[in-house]
Amino acid sequence: MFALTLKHTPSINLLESICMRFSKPKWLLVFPLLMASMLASVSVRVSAAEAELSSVTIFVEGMMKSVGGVT
Amino acid sequence: MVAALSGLAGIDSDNVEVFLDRDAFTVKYDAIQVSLGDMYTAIIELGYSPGIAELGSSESEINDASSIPALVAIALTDAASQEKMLLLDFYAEWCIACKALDASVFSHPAVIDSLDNYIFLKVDTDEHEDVAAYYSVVGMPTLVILNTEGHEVHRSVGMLDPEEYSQKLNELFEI
Repeated sequence: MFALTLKHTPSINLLESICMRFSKPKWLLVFPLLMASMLASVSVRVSAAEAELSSVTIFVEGMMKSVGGVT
Repeated sequence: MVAALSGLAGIDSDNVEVFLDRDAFTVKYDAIQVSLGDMYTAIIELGYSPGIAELGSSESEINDASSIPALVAIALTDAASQEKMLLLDFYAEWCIACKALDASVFSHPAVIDSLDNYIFLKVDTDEHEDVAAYYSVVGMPTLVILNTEGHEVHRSVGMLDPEEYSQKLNELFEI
């Protein structure tokens, strides 16, 4: 009876449809999505790390005089 | 130089850009792993000296080595008349770090409020190399705070946290 009551709820119908979709080997479709989200997470972390870098310009007396030593 | 700096933890060789014509380089670094002091030490160990080479007297606007440069003296007079302090911002058009500081610190509302108590003078180190040398500017961006007598009361080099700097500006003015 309970199941019958639930079947009349649109949101449950949607959930049921999603479950059915993933109950077979089609679950493999989820894998690329998971990988994509993981990669996105990693790239966000890398961007955050880059954003945390500080930056400064330093003068060095006579650096130009020894070009070979600089590069 | 690049090899020596990138040998330090927190600095990648790809993040060191050399400006040979200006005797300078810009470096992006992880402030948690490496300090400016570490970089100065590496430069000194290579036989170089951090800072701007002293100019000949003919190129300098400073007649007396002990006198304050005219540009700053005028700003100090202005500051004294308004009972404010003087903040010198040493920068250059080609200085990426200076642009980053402008974007993050000098556009921050808290810092803008704190600057009400200061005369803010931007000093282009290319145009006023003598002034930069007078204040022993080693890196950019360098922010120097002078009291109304022209005495240096605070200096910072590199990036800053805007809220911390705002607090520092307020503290220094209240002293």
